[in-house]
Amino acid sequence: MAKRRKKRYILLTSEPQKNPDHIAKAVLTSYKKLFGIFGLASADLRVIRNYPDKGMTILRCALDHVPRLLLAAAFVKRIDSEPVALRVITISGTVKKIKEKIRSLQS
Amino acid sequence: MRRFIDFWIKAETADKAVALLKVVRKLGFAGAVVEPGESIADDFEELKARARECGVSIYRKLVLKPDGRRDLLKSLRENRGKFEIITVLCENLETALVAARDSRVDTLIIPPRPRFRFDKGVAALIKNRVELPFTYFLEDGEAFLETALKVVEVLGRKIEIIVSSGASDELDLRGPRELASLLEVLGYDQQEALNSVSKVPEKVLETNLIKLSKNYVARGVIKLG
Repeated sequence: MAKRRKKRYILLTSEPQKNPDHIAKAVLTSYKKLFGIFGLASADLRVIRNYPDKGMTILRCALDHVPRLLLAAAFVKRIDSEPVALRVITISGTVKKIKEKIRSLQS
Repeated sequence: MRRFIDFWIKAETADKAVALLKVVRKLGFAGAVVEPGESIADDFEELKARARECGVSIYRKLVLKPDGRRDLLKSLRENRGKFEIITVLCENLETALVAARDSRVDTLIIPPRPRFRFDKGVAALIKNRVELPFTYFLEDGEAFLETALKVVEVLGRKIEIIVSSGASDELDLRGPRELASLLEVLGYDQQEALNSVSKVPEKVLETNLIKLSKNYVARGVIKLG
């Protein structure tokens, strides 16, 4: 039986705070620019959840593509034609841990 | 535990430097190497104290852009004792060949799409480390990756590589994992890539701090007590 691919969940935010939809879109565009359509397809990249009030987004990608995703996120310079820097808050194997992290940031 | 160091931050004023260092701390770095602007070059000790309050250790860096061999050697003679780190931006083959061998140079920066070929000849001579500033990647990703790939391919297995941010603005700063991801994408394993922002710069700083201390006599000779 084929093994299920391991995934990682990445919590991202931007500085200054931006709409998480736009953050996720910027990361996907940047990933495609750096690694092409094939790279994007093999990364199995998905937007899991957005937190518009906190300006955070959770992305999911294949474990072996995490460095590529980090590089793509670091490569984002502008969102809505304004200069930004994307910050990776945490990387985890489960959404539960990511949510715990968001709760700990709130308190 | 790893101690992450950002090997190149450019700061023109003391306030700007402190603002940058606060972000550096937030991103998870424990140390930073600062290229001070003229206005803060004399008050670096004061800046060091302010950085310590932010929780970051800072070190002084000089980036040389020599025109040729003589210019480089003169600058090295004049400045080696004043800075913890000396980096040479190699804009031609002549300076690259000298900087690659000179033990007073700590790191070399090869600009994106250099106007010279670095091949086995340079690889055979090189003793110093190569630095890859992340700002070059943000400015022109394609040109930078082209050069970085060649650096890794030709020199990467022989010498150590350091990834620095090269930032002069808070938004150009990136976290240690993001900086290390550059080498991971270029074929290094995770631990090796993380070493490029932690152990390798730490080792360079450690060696140079010993050299700059009063107890240092000559290579391999230190005064004890």
